[in-house]
This record gives sequence, structure tokens and C-alpha cells, in this order.
Amino acid sequence: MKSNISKIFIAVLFTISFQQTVKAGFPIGNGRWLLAPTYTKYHADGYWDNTGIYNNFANKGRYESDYFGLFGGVGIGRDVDLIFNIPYVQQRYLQNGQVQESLSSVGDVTVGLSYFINHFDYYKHLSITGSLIFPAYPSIEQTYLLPGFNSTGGEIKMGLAGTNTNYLKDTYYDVEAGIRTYFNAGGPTMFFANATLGVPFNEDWKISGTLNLLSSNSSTGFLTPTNIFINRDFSYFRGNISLGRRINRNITWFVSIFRDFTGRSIGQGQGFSTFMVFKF
Amino acid sequence: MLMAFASIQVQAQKPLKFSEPSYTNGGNAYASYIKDKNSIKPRIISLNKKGIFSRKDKFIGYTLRLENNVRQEQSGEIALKVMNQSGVIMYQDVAGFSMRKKGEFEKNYFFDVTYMQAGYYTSTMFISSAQYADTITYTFAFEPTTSNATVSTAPTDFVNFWEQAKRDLNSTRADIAIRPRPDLYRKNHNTFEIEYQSVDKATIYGWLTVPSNKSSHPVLYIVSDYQSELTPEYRKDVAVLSINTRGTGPSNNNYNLGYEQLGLYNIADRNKYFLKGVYLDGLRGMDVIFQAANQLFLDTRKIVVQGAGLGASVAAYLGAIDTRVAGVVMEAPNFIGFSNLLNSSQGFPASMFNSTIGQRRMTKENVLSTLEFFDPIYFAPYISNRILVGYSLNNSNTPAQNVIQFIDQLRINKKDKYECKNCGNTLNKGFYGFKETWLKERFGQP
Repeated sequence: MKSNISKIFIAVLFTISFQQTVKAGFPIGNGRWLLAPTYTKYHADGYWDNTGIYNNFANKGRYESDYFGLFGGVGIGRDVDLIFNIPYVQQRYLQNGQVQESLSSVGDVTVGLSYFINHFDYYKHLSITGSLIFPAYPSIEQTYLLPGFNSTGGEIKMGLAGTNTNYLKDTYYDVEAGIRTYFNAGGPTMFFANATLGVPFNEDWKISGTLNLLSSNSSTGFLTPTNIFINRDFSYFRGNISLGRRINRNITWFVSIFRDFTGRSIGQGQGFSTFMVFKF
Repeated sequence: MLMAFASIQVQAQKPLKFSEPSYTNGGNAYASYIKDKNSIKPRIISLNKKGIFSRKDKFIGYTLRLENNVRQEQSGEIALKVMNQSGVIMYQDVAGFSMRKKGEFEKNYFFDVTYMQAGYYTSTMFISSAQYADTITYTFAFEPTTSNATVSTAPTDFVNFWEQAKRDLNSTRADIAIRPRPDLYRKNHNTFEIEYQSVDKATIYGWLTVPSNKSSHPVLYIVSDYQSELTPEYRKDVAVLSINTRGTGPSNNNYNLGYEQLGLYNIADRNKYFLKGVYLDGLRGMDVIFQAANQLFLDTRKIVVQGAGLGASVAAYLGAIDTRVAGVVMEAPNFIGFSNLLNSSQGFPASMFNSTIGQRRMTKENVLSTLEFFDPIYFAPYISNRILVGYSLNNSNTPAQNVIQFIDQLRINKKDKYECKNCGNTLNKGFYGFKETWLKERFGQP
């Protein structure tokens, strides 16, 4: 059982934290669109158990994943954005350097609408985003690795983003918090909160730091034979630093590194990510 | 943008310019008392929560409730003034009140719908008793989306006049010079000094800043306000042309006139009048953009003209007359709606125009017969591109109604207005934030 503890979560969780860096809670703009292809390399050599104590995987076990995502959005109006995310993930579990299990699959597709409740003075924006989550993969039973919870779900979050004009001039921030739940027996239901602070160095370079907190909860009494190994009860706290380079007016290229600081019933992940943001 | 009257505004402020009541309560010389601002708590209970009334309303108005906070009887009086947005007093009233200790007093101020004109009203109440003296104001709107039909039609030879003006400009040598100023270069921008000739012997100066990368840049063309000099403005990914029209900053060759004289220069003859020159100075600025376009990678399909005050009028003119303009931004226009302006405003520029009436046999009609050729309201129907108009409802120099009339005259479907309720004679951060969003839309920039 122990080796299964870190599976499943990867495709789900990048979706949540990734938007923060790309869109940073600002409206896309009427009639504009945004596309952000991303690649993330993730690995975990050990895990935190359900009491938060760290253990290595048995037999030099290692969980690896390559995540390819396409995040996009269209500004339907000044106050409404349509957003989507399509992930594709390759997962492997290795022991002593030998692949034990592997799976390549599309993950949970997310489609949502952001509504800007208030633009205040247009230097900060309060938004509410509702999304639906659809598993874009067939029920997979032959492996413990899964790209998602194999269930439709919904997410709602509030965000406040803006540019500082007085203190920390020109820096930008984005704080958001939300709830995500899967429409099946056993959930799980996740609470998450993300906070980003970005500092532009000049017209071309910027650096941003993001903290992600996520807690997934489930009533374990609803396990079924097919999902008995799926871990639905976990939490983690992750930090991420991104460096962005503006290629031109429309394209920005980011590289970022991340690491999980603490967690419960989850692998201690770390890795890097690179993505391009196209805005037109 | 809907910015109209989101909430009731009740604010306490020091009595300003308010004549004190002619008698005081019970013969007490109230000025000799130390006033306690907390002794009375005033509250406004409006008949309409948002403070927006329409013709369908049976009553317009509000109830003023006073609460006596001291264990002592209080009596005094409430002096009311209701002013329309032009500052004209529509209604005045003085009423006494008395309250038992810890008691309350209520007075209804209801106004008759049939006497109301569309627009905004500010009601000021000066409340005084032996212990208390303060002024509170309450602003409300009546049919704010309709405006008074006081716009007369444009002068009959309006179009001819401007066609002739264009010919005047075309027959004047331009001699456009675009000189690099390496001493003002920035890391990502090159700076150029602009000089050209315009009608009636004016030499016009300005600045052009261009991002140094070689992609094509949209152009923000800023026209100066009345005698307020523009310096180079630097914008990310946008070229900025700033033109000081005649009489402003360095463009004062032959037009080195004082603040109160410049706007009156040749006002008796519309063909030589100062504003005609200003408008044509602005029009020639467009040629600068086209002359520089190839060499400096300017995107001539994305030219937005922006102006504040008098510059806003020039922007409206360019939007009407020059199809090369993709967008117009008007910030707090004040040379607008001249006939209403001269009748209702005491501030600038009305004060300047009114000061010339009576001198050298000038009548108000003479002044207006020149000014009406330069009134943005008459350009409005000809504007065919996107437009953003920002204005303040309580501008004391130029009544907001003048700007609202301009907006009503626009024939285009997509017009954006930003109405600031309480900005005085300027605009607020919210407008400038929205303007940035709006400009990005016009420039097609993310």
C-alpha cells in the first residue's frame, strides 16, 4: 500500500496551481485570448505518511511524471473570461531504476468562466471563477497510476489580483482561494489557497513566487474495488519560484522550480516547469 | 461603463461659503459657544436608495433626521440650498427645529417632479444649534440618462468652414522636422523632437518617443491642454506623439499670450481665431505620424488621439475629421457646450469668454457665433471611431451636462463613458486605470 500513496494527484494538482502563474488573476481583455502550453517534470523519492512523517519509498522507489498541459482563455467581455485546461500526463513508478508501472493518458479537462465582480480602480480585480472538470480518459484499472479521480467535478474560487501602485510599486499580486469537489461518493473535496507576488525587474524580466496550500478530504467509507488504492485524503504546502522573460509583446517564457515543504499522505514532490504564455 | 450614482453620499464638511442664518435660535449668539460636532447626529433617509429618481416617481427627495445626543434640549435651524450641476441655486429654505433631550427631529425635503430638469442636484444643509454647527450634503440625480434638449443645431456653414480650414492648412507649408535627441534616449525608447509649421504663422513643437525594438508600434497621440506643456511620455510598446498646440510651452512663437488672453485671440473673427489654429495644429500632428511611420515602425492603423481639457476638444475634432484616427480619448473636456457654458459657469474658460463681453462692442452673441464653430458637440455626430469620455459630475468649471450632451450627440454604437461622481475638476485613478484597459483594446495589446 505504501507505494501507492503518491499516485493520482499529479495531473489534478498542477491544474490548480498553474493558472496562478499564467493569468495571475487579471482579466484577459475583451476579445483577446491567451494560450499557455506547459511542461512540468515532477519527481518524488519519498512521501509523508498520514501523520506527516517523511519516509522514503521502498527499494529506492521513485515516482516520476511528465506533464504536458495546454491552458487557454478567451476574454468574452471586459468582465468575463472563458478558460480551459487540457492536460496530458505520463507517469512512471520505478524501483531500483526499473519501471514498475507506467501510464500515459489525458487527464481531467477543465472548462470554466471567470467573472470580474469588481475592477475597483482597474489596478486591482476581484473575480469569481466557476469550473467544471471532466475526466478525458477511460476508466483505467490495470495500474495503480491514474491521471485523475475518474469523476466529474466542479470548482469555485474567488481571486483578488492587482498591481501595487503605492507600496512595492509595480509589483503584482494574486491571492485566491477555492473549493473543488468531485461528484461521486467519496469525493474528494479539496480546499485550496494560492498566493503569488511578482516583481518585474524591468520591461523584460520578472520573477514571481507562489505558495500553494491544498487539503483534500474524503470520507474513506466509500471506497470501491476499483478505486481502493486511490488516495483521496491528503494535503500539502508547495512553494514555487518562476522567472519570466518577455520575448516580445505577445510572448513570455517562464521557467520555474517548485518543492513541497510539508504534507500528509502524499509524495514529497519537487521539479521544474517551463511554459510559454501567448497573448493575442 | 455604468458609474452613475452607485450609492448615497452623505458627507459632513465644514461650512464653506455658506452665509449664516439671518437669525439665531432664541437670541443666543451661537458663535460664542464651543460647537460640539457630536451633539447632533444627522442622517439622510432617501426616498430612493440609490439617489436616482425618474419621472415615474411621485416624490423626489429625502428625509433629514437629526438625533440629539446630549441630555439637553436643542433648538436651531436648518438652512437648505439645492443647486443643479451648473451651480445654480434651484431652491432655498430655512426651517427651525427643536429636540427634547436625547430626542429626534425629522424634516422631509420633497421636490415637485414637474419642476425638475434632468441632471444632478446637490443639496446642502447647514445645521446649527447652540451646541452644533455643521454642513451636510446629499447629491441625487433626476433622469440622469436623459439630458436637456438644449443643443441647437450646428451653424449652417459649419461643414464649409472646416473644409475651408483644411484647405488653409494644406496651403501652409508644413516643414515637418523630426530630430533625434540622443540626450533624451532611454534604455528602451528613442526620443525625437518635433517641429512643424501651422496656419497663421505658428511654429509647433512636440515630442515623439518610440520603443527601440523593430516591431510595429501603435501610436498614442496626445494633444496639449490649454497652456499646459507636454513633455516626452514613454510607454511600453507604444509610440507617443505629444504636441504642444499654439500658445503652449515652446509653441508660443507669435502666440506668447497670457492665460486670460490666449483664448480670446482674434475671437471676433472665426477665420483667424485662436481655436481654429489649435485644431489645425492638432490635425497637422497626424501628418507627423505618417511621415515618421515607415522609418520608425509606427502602426498607422492604430492611432489613438488623447486630450485633456482643450486637448479633448481637439481629439474630438480629429476623430470627426480624420478617418485615420482609430480611437479618441477625451479627459475632462472643458471647452465644450459653449452656449450653456457661458451662461452657467463662473470658472475657466467661461470667465475668460465672459470677460470680453462688453469690450470693443463684443456681445455674447458675437462671442458665441465664433465659439460655436469650435464646439465639440457639433463634431460629435461626425465621429465614427471608438471613443472614451471621462468627466466629473461636480466639475465647477464646466457643467457635466455639457459633456453628457456631447455623448448624446455621438452617433456611434460603441461609446465608453466614465462618469466620476466626485472628482471635482480632475479625474480619478479609476478613470486612468480604465483608460489603460481601453487603450490596450484599441492597440490590440494584451
